[in-house]
Parts: sequence; C-alpha cells; structure tokens
Amino acid sequence: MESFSNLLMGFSVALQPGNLLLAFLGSALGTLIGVLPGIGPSAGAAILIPLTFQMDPTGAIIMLTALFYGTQYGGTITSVLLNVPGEAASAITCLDGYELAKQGKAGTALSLAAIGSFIGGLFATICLVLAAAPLTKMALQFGPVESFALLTVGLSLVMGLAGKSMVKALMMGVLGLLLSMVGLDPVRGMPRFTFGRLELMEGLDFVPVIMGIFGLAEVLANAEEGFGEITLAKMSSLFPSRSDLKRSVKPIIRGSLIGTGLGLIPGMTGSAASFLSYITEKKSSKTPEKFGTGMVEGVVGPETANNAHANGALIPLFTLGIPSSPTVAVIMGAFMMHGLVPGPFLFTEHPDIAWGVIASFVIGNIILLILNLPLIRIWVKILKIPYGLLFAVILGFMVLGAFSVNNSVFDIMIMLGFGLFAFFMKKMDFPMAPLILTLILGPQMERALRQSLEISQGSFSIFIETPLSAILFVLAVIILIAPAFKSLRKRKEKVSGEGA
Amino acid sequence: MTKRVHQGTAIGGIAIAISIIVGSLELQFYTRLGPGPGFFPLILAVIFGILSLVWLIQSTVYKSESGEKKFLPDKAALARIGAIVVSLIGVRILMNPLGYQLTMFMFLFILIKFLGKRKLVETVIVSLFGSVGVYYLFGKVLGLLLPTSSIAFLAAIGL
Repeated sequence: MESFSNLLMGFSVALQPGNLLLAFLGSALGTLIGVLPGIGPSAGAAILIPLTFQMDPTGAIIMLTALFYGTQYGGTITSVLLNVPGEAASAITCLDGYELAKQGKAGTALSLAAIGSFIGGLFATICLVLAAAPLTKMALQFGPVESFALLTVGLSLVMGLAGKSMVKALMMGVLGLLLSMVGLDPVRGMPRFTFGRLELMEGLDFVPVIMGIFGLAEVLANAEEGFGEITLAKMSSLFPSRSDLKRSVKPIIRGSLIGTGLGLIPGMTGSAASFLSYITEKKSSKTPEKFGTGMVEGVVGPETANNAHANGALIPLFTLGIPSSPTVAVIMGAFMMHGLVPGPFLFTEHPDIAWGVIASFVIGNIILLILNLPLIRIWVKILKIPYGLLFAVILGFMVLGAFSVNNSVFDIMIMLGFGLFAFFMKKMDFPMAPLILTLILGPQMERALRQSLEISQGSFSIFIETPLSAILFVLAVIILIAPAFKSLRKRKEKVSGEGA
Repeated sequence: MTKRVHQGTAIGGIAIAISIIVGSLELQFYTRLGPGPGFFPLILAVIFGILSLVWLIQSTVYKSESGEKKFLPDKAALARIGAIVVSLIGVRILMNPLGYQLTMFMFLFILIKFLGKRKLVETVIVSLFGSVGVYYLFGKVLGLLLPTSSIAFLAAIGL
C-alpha cells in the first residue's frame, strides 16, 4: 500500500510539464535510435548524457530511461520492414516479422508488437513498484562485506553469460576493473596510472569510453561493410484482425513474465529474453513448423519480452544499485554524473526522484504506444535517410558528446582509442559488456573490498563469516566454474564420440 | 593469420599485466590502516596476466571455434575506416585553433561527400546544420560550452 502512495507522489513529479516533455523527448529519441541501425541503446544513452548536464537530475534520468526502453519499440520497425534489427534484442523478430511484411501484414506485426511492448513494460513497472520496498529494506542492511559479495555475484553472472569463452569474458571484466583504477585512489586520494596527465586525475570518463566501445566501434564495423542503400517492405493497415489479437494474448502474458524475470538477473540481455520467448512460443504452438514463415506469436512474444526486460532490468539498479546490462550501467553512470547513487539510499534520500522516475515509466510507455501506433509512418520515413548521411551525423553527435563532458579534445581521443580497441576485440569474439560494467562498478567494488579488509585488519575470512556473504561467494564461484565443467564435459563427449 | 593475432594480443595482455604490476609495486600495497592504493591493482594485474597466459595457451593449442575469420579489413574497407580515424584526429588537432563550427563543418563535409558519396547541396546543408546549427542549438540554447576559434579574425566573425 505504501508503495502505491509513493507511486502517486511519483506521478505528481512525473506529470510536471517539464518532465512530461522530457519523457516525450526521451521516448522519441529512443524510438529514433532503435530505428537507426548502427547505433544501439548504450551508445544512444551515452551520447545524450552530456546534453543533460544543465537539466535537473529528475528530468535528466526520466529522459535517459525513456530513451532506453524506447529503443526496444524502435528496434521492431527495422526488423519487420528491413529484415535488419535496429538493436540486438529485436533480432529474433526478423524471422517472422519480415515474413509478415512480405505477406502485406507489416502494419499488423508492428501494431501488435507495440501493444505487446506496452503491456510488457507496464507489467515490469508494476513489479518494480511492488519489489522496491522489500528489496531496498533488505539492501539497507548490507555492510561493505555484503556489498562486495553482491557485486561479485552480479559481475560473475555478467561474465558467466557473456560471450562464448569464459577466459575472454573474465579478461574483459578484469580489464574494466583495471581501467577503473586510473585516477585518484577512492580511499586515500593518491593518483594512480595517470601518467602525469591532469585529464586522467579524475579517472577515465565513462561517456567517451562507452561512445567509443558501442558507438564508434559500430560505425567502424558498418564502414567495413560499406554504406549500402536500403530496401523497405511496404507498410499496410495498422489494425490487427480479431483473430490476430486473440492469438496475441498468451504470448503477451508469457513474454511479460519471461522478460521481467530475466531482467532481474545480471548478465541476461534483452536478446536472451526475446530469444527465450520465441522458443517458448514455438514450443507452445500447435504448428511449430510454421514459425519463421510469418507467425504473429513469433513477433508479439519476443517484442513483449524485450520491453518487459528493459523495464525489469531497472529493478536491480533501483533497489540494489546493480546494473544488469551495459545500457543500465550507462544509466547508472548518468545517475552518478548528477550526484545521485542508485540503490536503496535513493529511496530514502531522494524519494521524489526515485518514485518520479518510476512513475515516468508508465507515462513513457503510453507515449511510446502513441508514437509507435498512429505515428509509425514518421519513423518509416526516417528509415529512408541514406546511411551515407546518417553515419556522419552520428559521428558528429559523438564528437559533441565526448567533447562536452569536460570541454576537452582529449576525450575525443579517448573515444577514438576505445572505438578502435572494441572494433578489433569484437573481431576476436571478446564481449564488451563485462568491461563496461566493471569500469563503472570498479571504484564501488574497491571501496567495499578495502573497507571490509580494514574492518577485519587484513583477514579475508571476513567474507565467509556472515552467512549471506558466504552464500553469495559460493554462488559466484559456481557461476564462474560451471561453464568450465560444461566445456570439459562437451570435450569429453566429443572425444568419446570420435573414439566410438 | 587470426591465430597469430590472438597470440600477439595475448602476449600484449601479459606485457600490460607486467607493467601494471610494476606500477602497482611503486604504490603502497598495505598501510597501517589496511590495504593501500596498490593493493587492488596488483591483485587484478596478476589475475589479468594469468588469464592472458591461459588465452595464449588456448589460442596456441586449440583450434579456433569461430573458424579462420578474416581479421584485417580489405583495402577499400581499410580506407573507409582510416578516413574516419584520420578525420577524428583532425577534429582533435583543429578544434581549438579553428573553433567548433569550422572544424565540424569540414569534418562532416569530408565524411558525407567523400565517404558517404552524397550530392554537394545535400552535403553542404547537413554539414551546416551539424556545425553552425548544433553550435547555436546546443551552445546558445542548451548552454553547452563549445569552443570558438583562437585565431582573432575567425573569432571576430563569430566562428
């Protein structure tokens, strides 16, 4: 009950004209970023962070979170009309979405996906409202030992689930932590690894790093492929038939549950949610062989799931202060840039901001439904902008974003350096998510570790003294070791198969 | 080729780990109050070094699961990537002497005209919007500090 009265207070903040306008702006920009292939939600959010410096924190976070879940709506449009996913979580939608478009049912696919996304987003927001009070109460009991244990579990999940190779994921995770050491030591204030450069005293700014890793690396990858022209499928009526609507009910329910559930687990991406939803729909169908030929369920389920995931992924950030994906980590960075720390203290110290932002999720999803149903043809027109023009505009915004963080050209070079680094590392199948998450969480983790060791006077046994931290550490070890056993078993099976 | 790139990068990883270990040893490892500034980087650098070594062994012993993917882009692709990289370095060099508007106009013009291969009128309009338009929208309306030229006569004409 208390949560709902807090939510009402949140609505009084979110419905202020300025915040409404920013929710609209974030939703529109999110849809735009989702529509444009070659720029994902992480880069989009990172580019916009510097532009929010002059805004008040509530408005800035409302805009950036709306942008985040807005990309999930926009990504569908390109998947259905172009057979090219606007962002990774919509990739699976191409299978049946594009087939529906070829059958002249693009409008039906897009409208059902928008309705599903709306319901999925709303469901996850309700879960956040319900989970906020108990989870924050629990998190407020945490000391540095439990915080360090929780962060370790979160990061091990991200590393355990990212990419094909555990070694590569771990390397990226550790590299992110090492990069977070650059600058002043968070406990003693001593400069580390700054190479005498004043620009590095406050550490590597995460905005140019993220823009390099997600934005520039993507532009470079597109430049490698060449800037080809695009061919769009034709749009049709947006009104779905009664039978299509009826067929969508169960996929929407299942997609909402899958997306929200996976959103709670660090490392589970929106792509995993939409993929699992697709598999579930196929398995529950009486005609699984028809999947891939234009099944409505193959579009509605995954699209509901990825939007529920986008909103669900904000639950661990808001309640425990743990980002579960790179884009959520970018949003966490935006909180920090505005002097706020996401997590349980946000609800006690800034309830107006916490609940205002949560209430804005409902408003943002309504705005997105409007933007993606009656106004969908505007986004389709934007798709016709040639990439030869678009990539330069995207690069221009990246330069603007990187420069304006510290008004320094040095950050443009940081962006370039990390862009080239990510471009080549991705070619070698190195996942970038662990690096970003550890880069942002590094200082917090180091502080928690050192405070714990100061309490125990250097004894590491402190981490297994309380039952909660002991359980969390065992869990982290299992998560990290499990893939190694799995691959050993696979190798054994392969060898015995070859022997037979 | 790919195998050598993997091995080379792993060796690079080991070198980075060693240099961080050396750097960490110059910082305090442990103080009277507890772990010092060199404590966490040293542990991490050791782990990073071990992981790089494991990767070096893996890439030497095992066959690449992703197959022999082409690592270096072809000549035309390399030229496109090179043009973007050089343009960004150009922005870094020219931003302070020429100011935001002129630098970004040149940056966008070169990329759109020569890389995007768009028509001249289209190129000029988008470049003007991305330079002068953005300067006034973000600099004057949204209050971002964007640099003007350090050359007196360019600054005098508002660039």
